[in-house]
Amino acid sequence: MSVLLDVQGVSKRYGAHQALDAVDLRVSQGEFVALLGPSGCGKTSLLRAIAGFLPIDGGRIAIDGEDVGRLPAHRRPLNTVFQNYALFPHMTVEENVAYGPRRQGIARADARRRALEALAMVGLENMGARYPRDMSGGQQQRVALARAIVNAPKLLLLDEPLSALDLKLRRRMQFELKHLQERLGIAFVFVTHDQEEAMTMADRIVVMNGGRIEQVGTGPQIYRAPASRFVAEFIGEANMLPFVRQGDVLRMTGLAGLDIPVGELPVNGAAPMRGTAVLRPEDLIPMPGDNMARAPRIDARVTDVIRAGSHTMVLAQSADVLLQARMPGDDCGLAVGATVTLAFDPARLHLIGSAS
Amino acid sequence: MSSARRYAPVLLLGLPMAFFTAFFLAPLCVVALASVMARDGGGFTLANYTGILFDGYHWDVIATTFRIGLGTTLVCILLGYPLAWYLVRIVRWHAWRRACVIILVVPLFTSNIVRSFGWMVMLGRNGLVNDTLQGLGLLDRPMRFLGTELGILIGMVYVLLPFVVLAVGNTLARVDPALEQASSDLGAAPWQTFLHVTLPLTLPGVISGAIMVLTLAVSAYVTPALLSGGRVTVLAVLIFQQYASVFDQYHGGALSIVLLVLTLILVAAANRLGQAGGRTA
Repeated sequence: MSVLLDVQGVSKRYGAHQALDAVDLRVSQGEFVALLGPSGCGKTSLLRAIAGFLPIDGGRIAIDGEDVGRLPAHRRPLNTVFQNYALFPHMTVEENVAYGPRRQGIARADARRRALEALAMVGLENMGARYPRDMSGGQQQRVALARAIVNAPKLLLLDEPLSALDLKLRRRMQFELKHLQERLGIAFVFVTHDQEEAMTMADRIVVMNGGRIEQVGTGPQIYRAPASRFVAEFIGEANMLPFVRQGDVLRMTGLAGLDIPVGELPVNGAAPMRGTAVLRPEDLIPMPGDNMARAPRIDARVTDVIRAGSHTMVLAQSADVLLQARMPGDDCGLAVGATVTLAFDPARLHLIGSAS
Repeated sequence: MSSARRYAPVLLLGLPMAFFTAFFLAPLCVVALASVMARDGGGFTLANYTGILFDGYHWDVIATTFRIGLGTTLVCILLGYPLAWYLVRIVRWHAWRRACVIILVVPLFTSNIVRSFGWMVMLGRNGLVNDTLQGLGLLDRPMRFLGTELGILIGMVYVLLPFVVLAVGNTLARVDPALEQASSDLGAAPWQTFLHVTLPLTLPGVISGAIMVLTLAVSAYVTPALLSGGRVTVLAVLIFQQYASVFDQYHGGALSIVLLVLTLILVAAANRLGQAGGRTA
């Protein structure tokens, strides 16, 4: 697949705040990429820089090999779905959607036909005569989508398009968006602060923090093998276990001298000298059975039991570390204050090295 | 208690109604009544109106009044819209924006007469405006402003510009900048975005500003009286003469009603324009 969007070394500074710090990103034709991060991480700035609403201080933005970094927004070959839809309130739905083709110089009748086609794609073919204010949030969302795809762009930017919808509708729109994207073959760059949304929809996830890209990878990659402490803690829940390497063993310094032979780790001999081991809560097993007889064990005291319906989170204190274990079902048989033995498979540890 | 509750609305409505009747309706009725009374006290007549409508001089005055009024409105919109744009969309520094608004509004707190005398000095033969234009080499000889419609128009624009800036600025501030971005994202050049998105959405502000300026401009007395030097006569000046110099309240009343009706027609037309523009575009 060829590169559609090529962002190289893009920077943007507001006074003392570095909104974008030498960001590199490549998006292929037809790919679905999510920009994920906490607020202020630079994901929206990056999107606005690509769209042409944010002048950049340095770097290069190319679409289909053409440098668009200096082009005004209306000359860039892409379209955007805005966070609050930004539908024109003085136009009907059909006029909103036909706005793009009209500005491309397409005749009124043709533009109307295209608008109706785009509306049909989002299931609103009978709503063309309405005004946006007479529609529900979900419908407005679809109109915004129809308006953005009517010009058949190769690249569509979406700025937290689902954040204003309630949870049920958001779930449904996630699947609809994903299916539409696959059907049209348009590359999507999708900004979100919701990791589940990113995991559900995106081919690749770009995790951003402090104006920089922390990691790019598929959902399972960034979950299983986070590149930094930030990614590990931002994506899902994580037990962060500090360690130092002493010859052939890894000494878990927070867990009263638990030692793990390096040979049992997935990294084999390449373990760093010191750092943090990431262990996901579902990999920490309370009350291990006989099948885990040889696994490393930790004794801890239960401090909280959180029943979330489909699963239960057990929080337990061991030495300096508050551990989280996730168990299926809503009854773990543990009470607050009880002591519990926790076990894990060393192969499930992911090591993040730290300097010095 | 129940009677108090029953009479509360009457009181609440009655007071403002009485105020409105005493201070707005009654004077208007006096004027309207005088306009249809015969000068010798002999009952009702339309002679006061026919005297105006079949007289070329009066039509000249009416034409001058509305020419200056519409011209002032047009210039105020053409100057005020960009100014409002600058204040709302370009200025990022709040202190500077506030300073601009204050500079714009402060003249409204001073006397109209003082301001008009100021313009008499500025627009005079050896005034600042002529000196500057000559200094820049744009004029060979001093241009005549005082006693011309142009001079009156300049004075009126100065007085009335804030109304357009504030009205347009208010609506512009309520237009989400994301709408303009969406427009340019869809391929609209800046002028197309203005024509198809910004202008239609700010049209209500333009119309209300225009209506304020127009009604104030066609009924203005002080500025035309001082800047005309007696050479240009507008309706308000003529009406004042009828009441204050000629003591002809019948003719003056009829002139007042003519001004009122013509102004209302223009306001209605502007309103229609605003509604039509808001719907389509």
